[in-house]
Amino acid sequence: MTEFEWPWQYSFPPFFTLQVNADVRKTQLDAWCALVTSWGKQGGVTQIDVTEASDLAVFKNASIHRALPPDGIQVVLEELVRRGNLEWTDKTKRRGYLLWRSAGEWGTQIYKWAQGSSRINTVCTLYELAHGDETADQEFHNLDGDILLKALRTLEASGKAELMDFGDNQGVKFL
Amino acid sequence: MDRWFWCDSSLSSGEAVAASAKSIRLYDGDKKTGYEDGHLTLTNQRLLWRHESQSSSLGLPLSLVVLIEDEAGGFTSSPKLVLHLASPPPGHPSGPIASSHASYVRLSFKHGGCSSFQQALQKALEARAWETLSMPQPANSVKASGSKKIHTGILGIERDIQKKQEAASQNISRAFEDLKNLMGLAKDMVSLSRSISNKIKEHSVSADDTTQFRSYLLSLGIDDPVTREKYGSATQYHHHLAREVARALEEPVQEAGGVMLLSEVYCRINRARGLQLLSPEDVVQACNLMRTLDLPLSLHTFESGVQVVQITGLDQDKVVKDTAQVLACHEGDGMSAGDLARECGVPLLLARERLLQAERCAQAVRDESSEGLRFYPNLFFSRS
Repeated sequence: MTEFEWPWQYSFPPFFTLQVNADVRKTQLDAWCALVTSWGKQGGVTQIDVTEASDLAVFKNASIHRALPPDGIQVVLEELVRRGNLEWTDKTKRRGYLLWRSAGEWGTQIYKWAQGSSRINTVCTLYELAHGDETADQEFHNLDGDILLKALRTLEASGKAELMDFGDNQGVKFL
Repeated sequence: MDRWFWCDSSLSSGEAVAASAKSIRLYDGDKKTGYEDGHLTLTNQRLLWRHESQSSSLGLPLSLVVLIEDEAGGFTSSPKLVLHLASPPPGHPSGPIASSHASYVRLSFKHGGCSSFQQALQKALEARAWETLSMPQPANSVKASGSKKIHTGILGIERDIQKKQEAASQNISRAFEDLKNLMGLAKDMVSLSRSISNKIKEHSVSADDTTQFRSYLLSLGIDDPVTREKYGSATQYHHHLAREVARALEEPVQEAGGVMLLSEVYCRINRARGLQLLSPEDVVQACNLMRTLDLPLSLHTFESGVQVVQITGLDQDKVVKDTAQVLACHEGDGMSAGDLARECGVPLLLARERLLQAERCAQAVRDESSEGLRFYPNLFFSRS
C-alpha cells in the first residue's frame, strides 16, 4: 500500500482549529472533507466510529503537535453527512459508513455502465455486479456489499432500477 | 472530694440558679461515694448537691473548677461529667471528707441532662461571677483557676485603650443619631420624587411641565433621570472638553500610528492638564462627542468592546493590509498578539484587535492550541 500523501493543509497549524470567519471556514471544511474521503479511499476505511475518531491519524498531526478538537471532528463529520460522504448506521450517530464516493455517485456510475453495456430492462444479480468478469474494469468492482446496496437504492428512489429478491441472491433490474 | 463543704441551701445575694439536674451521684475521683440520687443545682458561683432527706447541701465553689470533661455513658454506665479541681484555699470550710487523694470529682447523670448541664457549667465558668464579688480579697490568695483583672502592665494598657475606643465609638454613634432621623425623613421624599420621574419617563407629559419639574428635581440635588441614562449628556462642558482633547492629542495619536487606546488618552490628557484633572466618565463622554463635532480625532469601539481614539478617516483596510503583510513575513510560525505588539511597537491590546480585525476580513486565520492563540496568513485562500 502506498504511503498516503498528505495535503499541504495537513502541515498548516490553523487547519486544526475551526475557523471563526464563515468564508474561511467553508474553505477549510472543503479541504477537510476532501482529506477524509481520499484518506478513507486510500486506506480502505469504510466505517468511522465517533468515539474513536480522535485517535484516527487523519485528525491529528503529531509533527506539528496539533489535533482537531472533538467539536471540530463533529463539525467535519456533519459536513460529510451533508455531502453524502458519510452515512450514520443508526439514530445514535455513533458510527457511520465512510463513502469516499457518495451512494448517489456510485448509483450514477452503475447506471451508466448498465446503459453502456445495454443491460436496460435486464436483471443482474448483485454478485455479478460487484464481482462479475464483465465489471472487472469498472470502479465499482469489488465494492462493499452494503455500499452497493445503498447505491442501488438511490437508483430505485429515482426510478432507474428495481431491487429484487431471489431467495439466496439479490438482484436488480435496470429500467 | 475534700473540696465539697456543707452549706446552706439558700442562695446568697448576687447568686442565681443557672441549671439543675436530678439523680446525680458524686464520685470521689474514680470511687463511688455514698452521695447518690441527689439534686444538683448550678448557680453562677457554686455547685450545690442535696439529697431530699437533708436540708443542707454540699457545695463546691466554681472558682475551684479548672477543667470539665465528659464521659459518654455506655450500656451499663450513665454519662458522667469530670470536674478537675484546684487545691482548696487555706480558709476553705470543712466538708464531709477531710482529705482525698484525687483532685477531681465525677458527677454521674443517671437520668440524663449531662450535655445541657455541661454547657451551663461552661457558661458559668466563663462568666466568672465570683471574681467580681471577690475583688476585695487579698491579692496573695492562691486561685489557680481564676485570674484577677490586671490593671497594670501591658494588659492593663491594652484594656485602657480598648475602653477609650469603645467610649469614642459610642460618642460617634450618639452624635449621628440625629442624622439618621433626618435620613429617614428624606427617604420618603426621595422615593416620592423617583416615582414621579419614573412616571414621566413612561408617559409623555407636556414639555413645559417636565422642564419645570426637572428644574425642581435639580434644585433638590437629584440628577435628571432622563439625561443621565442617555449616553453622553450634551452639556457645553463636554463639548469644550472634546475640542481640548482633540487639539492636545492630535499629534501624539498621529505619532503612535493613528490609533491610541482610550486608557492612554485618559492618562495623557490628565498628565497634560496637571491640575484640574478629568474623571474617566468625562473623558469618555467627551470622546463620544468628537464624531458629531467633526474633530480630527474620533472614538471607535471594536467588537470586543475595546475603545480607541483614532484619526478620523483612518483607513481600516490599510491597517488590515499592513497587518497581513507583517503576518506574511512570519508564515512559518505564525504570530501571537505579543509578537505583533513587539514588531509594530503598538500596545498589546491594540495588536490583538488588529489581528482579530484581519481575521474578520479573511486576511488571517487563527491557530488555537495549548501554546495559546496565534495567527497565520490566510493560506486557505491564497494557496490551492
